[in-house]
Amino acid sequence: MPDSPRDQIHRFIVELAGEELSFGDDDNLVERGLVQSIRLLELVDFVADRFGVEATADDIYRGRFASVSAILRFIAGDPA
Amino acid sequence: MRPITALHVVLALAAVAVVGTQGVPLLTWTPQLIAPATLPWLCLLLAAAALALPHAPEALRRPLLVLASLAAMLSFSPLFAAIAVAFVAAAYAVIFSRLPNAAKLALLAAFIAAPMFAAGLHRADGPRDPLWLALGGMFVLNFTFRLFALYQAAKAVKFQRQPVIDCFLYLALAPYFVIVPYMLAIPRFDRFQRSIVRPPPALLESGARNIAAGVCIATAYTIVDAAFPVPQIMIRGGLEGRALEVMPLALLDYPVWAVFSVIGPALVLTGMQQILGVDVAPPFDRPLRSRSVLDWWRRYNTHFRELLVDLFFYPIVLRLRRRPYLAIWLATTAVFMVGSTLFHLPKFAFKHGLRPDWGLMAENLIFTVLVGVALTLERRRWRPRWRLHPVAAILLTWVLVYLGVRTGTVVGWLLS
Repeated sequence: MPDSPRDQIHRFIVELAGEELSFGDDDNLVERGLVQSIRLLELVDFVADRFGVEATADDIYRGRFASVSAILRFIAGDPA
Repeated sequence: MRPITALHVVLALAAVAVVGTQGVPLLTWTPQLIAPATLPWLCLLLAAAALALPHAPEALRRPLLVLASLAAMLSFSPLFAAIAVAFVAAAYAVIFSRLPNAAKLALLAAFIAAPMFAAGLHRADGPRDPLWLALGGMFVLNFTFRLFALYQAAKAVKFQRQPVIDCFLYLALAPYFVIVPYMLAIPRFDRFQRSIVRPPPALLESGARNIAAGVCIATAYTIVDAAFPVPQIMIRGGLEGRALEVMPLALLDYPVWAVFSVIGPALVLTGMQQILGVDVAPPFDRPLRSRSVLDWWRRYNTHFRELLVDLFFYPIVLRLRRRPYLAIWLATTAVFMVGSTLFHLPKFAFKHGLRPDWGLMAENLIFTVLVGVALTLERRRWRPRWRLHPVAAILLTWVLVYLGVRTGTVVGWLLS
C-alpha cells in the first residue's frame, strides 16, 4: 500500500535533515529550525512535484509550508 | 491585559532617555535625530499612551495610537508631520493601486531614495538641520523596512485593500518614527494588525523585560566601550607596530562589539513597541552562538533578513526551480545587493556626499560569496566527515565575520 502524503512529507523532512527527528504534524518546522532556507525550498519543490500543486513565495509567506498539517491543507486545496 | 504599573512607565522614560542620549554609541553611526528640547515631550507622550491604552476600549485603541503618533510628529515639527502624512498617503495609494508589481516596487524605492538623497545633498552643502536629519533618517532607516514589509504583506493577500489607519500606524506609529536605531524591530503587518487591537496578555511583561535588559546592556556597553575601546586599541596597536600583540582582540572587535552596540537599543525599541501593544520580537536570536556564517546571517538582524528572503530570495529561487545553483547565486546576490549595498548607499551619501562606498561593496561581495558557497553546499547536502567542536565553530564564525567586515573596511580606505 503506498504511503500517505503525510508519511511521504515526514520522510522527506527527515531525509533533508540527515538525522532522525521527532516532530508532530502541527510543529512549526521553521521556528524549530528543522527546515530553513534552502531546505524549505527543497521541501516546496518536493511537494510541488510529488503532489502536482503550484507553489509561490507568497505561499511560504502565508505559512502554507510552516508545518506538516499546513502542507496537507495546502495540497488538499484548503485556501486558509 | 495586566495593568501597566509605574515600573513600566519609569522603564519607558528611561528607555527613551537612553536611546535618545548621545552617549549610546549607536547614535554615532546614525544621525542624531531627537533635539534635546523634544525628548521630554516624547517621554511624556509615550508614558501617557502606555498608561492609557490598556484601559481604552478596543474600538478606541487605534484612534488613540494615531493621535499619539500625530502629536509626537507635531512636537517635532509641523512640517515634518505634514510630509510624513503625505508620504504615508502616497505609499498607500501606490501599494493598493492597479499598477504592475514591478512599477510599485520602483515607485516605493524612489519614494525612499529621493528624500534621502535630497537630505544627503543638503547635508553636504550646508549645516545640519534637524528637520532634514529627521527626514533623511526616518525615510532611509524606518520607511525602507516598513514600506517593503507592507508591500510584501499586501502582495501575499493579492493587494486586498487594508484599512488606511492600520497602514498609517504600521508606517508611523509613535515613538519609533523619530527614534532610529540601526537595527529596527519590525513586526509582520498581519501580526501588527491583530495585536494593536487585542495585544497578547504577555506582551506588556515582555516589553518591560526587554526595555530593562536593553537599558542595562546599552549602559554597560557605553561604560565598557569608554574604558576599553577595542576597535581603537586595535588600530593604535597596528599603527604602533604591535599588530601581533593586539591580534587576539580581533575576536572581540567586530562580532562581539557590533552585537553589543546594537542589541541594547534594539531591545529597548522592541520593548517600547510591545508596551504600546505591538506584537514584535527582538531582531536578534543570540547571534554570538552562531556556528557558521549562514547561521550568523540567520540570527543577526532577523527581521530585515526575513523581509529580504521573502521579497527576493524565495521568489527568485522558486522561479528558477530547474536551475537551482544559478538560482541560489542570483538570489543571494540580490539579497545582499538590495539589503546592504543599495540600502546603505543613501546613508553613505547622507554622511559623505554622493560617491561610491567601495568598502561596503567589497564587504557585500565577500559575504555574498561566503553565503552563496554555504548555500550551495547545503543544496548539495554536503556533510563534512569531521565535526568541529562547538566552541571552535563559534570562534571560527566570529573570525570569518570579522575578516569579511574588516576586509571591506580596508578596501574602502584604499579606494577612497
